[in-house]
Amino acid sequence: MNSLRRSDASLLGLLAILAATALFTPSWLMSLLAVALAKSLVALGLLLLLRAGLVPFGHALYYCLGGYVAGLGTPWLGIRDTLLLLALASLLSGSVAFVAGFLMRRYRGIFFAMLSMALSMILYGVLLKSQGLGSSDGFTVARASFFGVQTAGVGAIRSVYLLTAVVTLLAAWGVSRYLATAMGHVGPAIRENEVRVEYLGASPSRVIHMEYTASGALAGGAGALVAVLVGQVDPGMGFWMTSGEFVFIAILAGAGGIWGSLAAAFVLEGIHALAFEYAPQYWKFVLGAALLLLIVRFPSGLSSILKTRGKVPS
Amino acid sequence: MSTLLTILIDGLIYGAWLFLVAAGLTLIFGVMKVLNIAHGNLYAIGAYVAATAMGAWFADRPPSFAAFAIQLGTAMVAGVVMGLVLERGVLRRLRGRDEVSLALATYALLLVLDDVIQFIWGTSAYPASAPYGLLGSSEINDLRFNNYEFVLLAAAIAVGLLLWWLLQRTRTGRCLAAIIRDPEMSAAMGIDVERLYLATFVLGAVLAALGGALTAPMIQVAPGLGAEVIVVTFAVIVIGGMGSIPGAAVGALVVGLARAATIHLFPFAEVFIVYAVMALVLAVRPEGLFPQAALRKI
Amino acid sequence: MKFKSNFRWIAVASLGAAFLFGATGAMAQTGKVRIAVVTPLTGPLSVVNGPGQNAARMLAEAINKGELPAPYNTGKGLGGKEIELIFLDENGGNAKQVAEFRALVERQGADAVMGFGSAATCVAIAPVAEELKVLTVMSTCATPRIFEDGKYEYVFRTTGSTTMDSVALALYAQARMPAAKTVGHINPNYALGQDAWRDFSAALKAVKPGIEVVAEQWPTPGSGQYAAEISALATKRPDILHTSMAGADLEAFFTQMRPRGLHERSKIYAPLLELSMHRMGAQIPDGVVFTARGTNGLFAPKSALNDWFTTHYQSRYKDAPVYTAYQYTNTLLALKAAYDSAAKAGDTGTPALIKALKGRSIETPSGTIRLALGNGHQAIQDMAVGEAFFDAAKKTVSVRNAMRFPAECVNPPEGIKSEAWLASGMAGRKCDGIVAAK
Repeated sequence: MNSLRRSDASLLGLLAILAATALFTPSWLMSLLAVALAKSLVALGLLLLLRAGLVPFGHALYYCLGGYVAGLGTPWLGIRDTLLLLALASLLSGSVAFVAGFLMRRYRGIFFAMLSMALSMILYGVLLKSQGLGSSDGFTVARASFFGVQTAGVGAIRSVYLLTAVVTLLAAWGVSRYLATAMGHVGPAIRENEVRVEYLGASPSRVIHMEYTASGALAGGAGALVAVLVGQVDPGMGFWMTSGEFVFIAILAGAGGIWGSLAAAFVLEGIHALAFEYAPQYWKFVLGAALLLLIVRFPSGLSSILKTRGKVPS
Repeated sequence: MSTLLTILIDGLIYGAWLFLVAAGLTLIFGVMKVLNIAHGNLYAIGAYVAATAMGAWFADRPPSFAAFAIQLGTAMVAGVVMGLVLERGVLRRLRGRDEVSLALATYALLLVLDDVIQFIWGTSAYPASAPYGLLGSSEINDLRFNNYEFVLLAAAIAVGLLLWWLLQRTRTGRCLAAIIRDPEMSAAMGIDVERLYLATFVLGAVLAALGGALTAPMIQVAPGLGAEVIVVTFAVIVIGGMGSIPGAAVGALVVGLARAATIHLFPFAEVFIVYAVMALVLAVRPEGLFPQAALRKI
Repeated sequence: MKFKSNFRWIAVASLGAAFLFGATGAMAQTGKVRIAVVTPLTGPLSVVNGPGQNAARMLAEAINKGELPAPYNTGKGLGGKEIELIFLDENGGNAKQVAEFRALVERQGADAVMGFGSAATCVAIAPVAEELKVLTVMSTCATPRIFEDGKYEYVFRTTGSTTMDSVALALYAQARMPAAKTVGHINPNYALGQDAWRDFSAALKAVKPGIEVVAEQWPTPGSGQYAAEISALATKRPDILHTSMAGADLEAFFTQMRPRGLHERSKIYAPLLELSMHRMGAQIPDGVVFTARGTNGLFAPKSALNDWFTTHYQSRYKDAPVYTAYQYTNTLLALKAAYDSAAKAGDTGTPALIKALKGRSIETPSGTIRLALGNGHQAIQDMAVGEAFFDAAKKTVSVRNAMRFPAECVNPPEGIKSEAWLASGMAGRKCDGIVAAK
């Protein structure tokens, strides 16, 4: 219990720091931090699945869905309030994840990854084909508005940044509490030996289904936040390379629990931004090399979550 | 009826192209359990090297059959070099890690190689048209087909037969089968696992480069070459069963025919068809059409 | 406790990164004009925007040295100040683009931004540029949505929109192919392709009512394998075949269809062929109808400025300049004109530049461009359409049967959206002054 209380206190501390920085940081840095926070939100959801040994290579599906829902909420439903849009986006993404979960929970390993990627590319195809939604250009999303007060300019960025910080840290707190419960421990057990889990009376597919739904909702929320922050959504949000980024953050996070997810997102965004700045033509090289180094250098961060599955002892 | 024949021909051509690219990927996965996400880059490198070589050779000479020799030669050189560099330089350090970490390492390699390609060849486009018109064309079904595309078909069949012979009829093939089953036991039995891993990866790289080299005359070799290829190739090997060469062939055929049929009959659905087929196959056979037998720990 | 030491390592690295960020941010404002060029440096769009980037560099140097011919021989630099170009890669997703744009303007400080090769980025960045109050002059992206869906004070565009392409091609078809009855298309399945087909088919139906669409193909952008699509199109044999494919995709398509004779069964209308023409050289299929997003490239009217531009570009980059090169050049010339004019009044602040640029007519290697739409922010220019062929005698690609259309003939009038204008049959177009070559 002590470590949980310490974790809670640290989360509050981090929230305080992030809120304080909102007072004096320039808008570009807040933008960057907000995107990093949103990505760590997705990674938190992925953490749940990763602990069960499943790596979805198509979670950008929910991220993209959340973004589009937030964008369409205003013209189609007349909803202007950002909090409502956020809730709607998470709810809808979660529902889609719930439905997809019936299919996804039957698969493991690389097939889970590939099927999940196929689903996200189907959404990508649908969005690309819809001229009404702007196809590959996407469309503009209205700036944030809270309780009838429309924000603009730096205020818009600051408010979404604060909202993202609150939502992400709230989710981190939720996930940390979940991980301490009995069901939260089933995940690693599934990864370890699924058959024994069944014999012990728990249902792996049910747990996976629930965690998949939750992670879909979190990703949808993140998509909505980024949509309102950037002011634009486009099908690229659902492309498999976007999923790849999320997976990278989640894998990098490794055994660090929620803190790993937060730190990894910041590291990745930081490397990305620095690479863009100093090597605009070769940022991919810098990013790839850095990631390779991190994978090679931090084996324990990765393999303690994803140990080699089921090698028959000879 | 005649549409059916056209669909069949188009499907075979596209399927042949898919198989050429997918064969290496599925081989590498089958033996090393590495899903080489950077496979598209190896394909691209094969295409760039072939295009550069052909551009230089044919700058002052008329097109001739030497082009095919150049394609084969450059593909082998490019494949061997890249295979050695990647396997020894990166993959060896990650030996024994789980599938997903390895796949993510290859994703990082994809990013790195994208920029390496751009660094070497820049953003210009390289034509490689020398062999494209050499074989003339045939009139089938009131449509003219370029015979070069049938070369692709022939190459795919040749590669398929070569791989079959390699895996089923040679000692190396049997060693590979043993490694696929259980690397530790194979090593204990005296098989040089490390060397065979290297050989497998190099072979896969050569196949990818060959796919690129053979495709180069049909397209413009330009940035972004590998990106579209890799997604479709994944779908093919997942449909066929990852690690299975006959599976890759069947998967390539299925995807090729499905796509050709869609283009002729329902063109608006072209963007979905590959993923729809993949989702369909996985829904019915969760591990693909010809999955590798997997052992389960109880 | 490995996790704790990792976390510490990460914390140190983040602090280091923050320091690096801060370091570059503290760059003092020198007496130069910093122009940020947002352009695809990597990825598939880099092939067509590369010439633009080259032209930008060439022009910036020429401006700094004061080597431009009339009417730009007004001394070195922009209003006397030297240009500094900063390049930003337009690749990596909208969220990244917007964040980088903000960082660029707020941290490094940019006096003006130009470039923009992708419509998605344009649409995303226009409102941000307006919010940050930075002068933004779009050079290449051509979606009509920018000034039709929004009003901007700080955003300009020195190139015409894609509407021009579609209308000009339709009018060309009306003039030169009166007997055509069927039309088909193969367009890449994303916004550019979808909009191009929508506009072209609307324009064509307006001038040739009764024309029938017999074949549609929507290949994935970047696919590169078109054998099946070519078979399908060859079976249907439309009289006119429209394709807005560009760059590597178009070249692959042409390479694959040429031995199969698709261009002999159908007349191909490829508006974006100009970007690939010179590269294809003798491989170019004979008689493809094309345009150059304005009177650029082979359609450029003869002038001292154009001669200077093409000679210098050719000798420096060993290649003929395609229309993206003209577009980036036109932006820099527009900026030069605005700066010179504002400098004469003694004030080169952004509001003064905006006033100087609004509604301006600018002399360029492509002829005159006028910022006549979007309340003085959106450019229009004359349009030309012709057939491409390889001149074996001169060993170069050339154009024949060219037709020239005045700007008001192929652009919607002020205040009317392109889509609505096309649906109404291009009502109100002023087409006196169409010139047809023999």
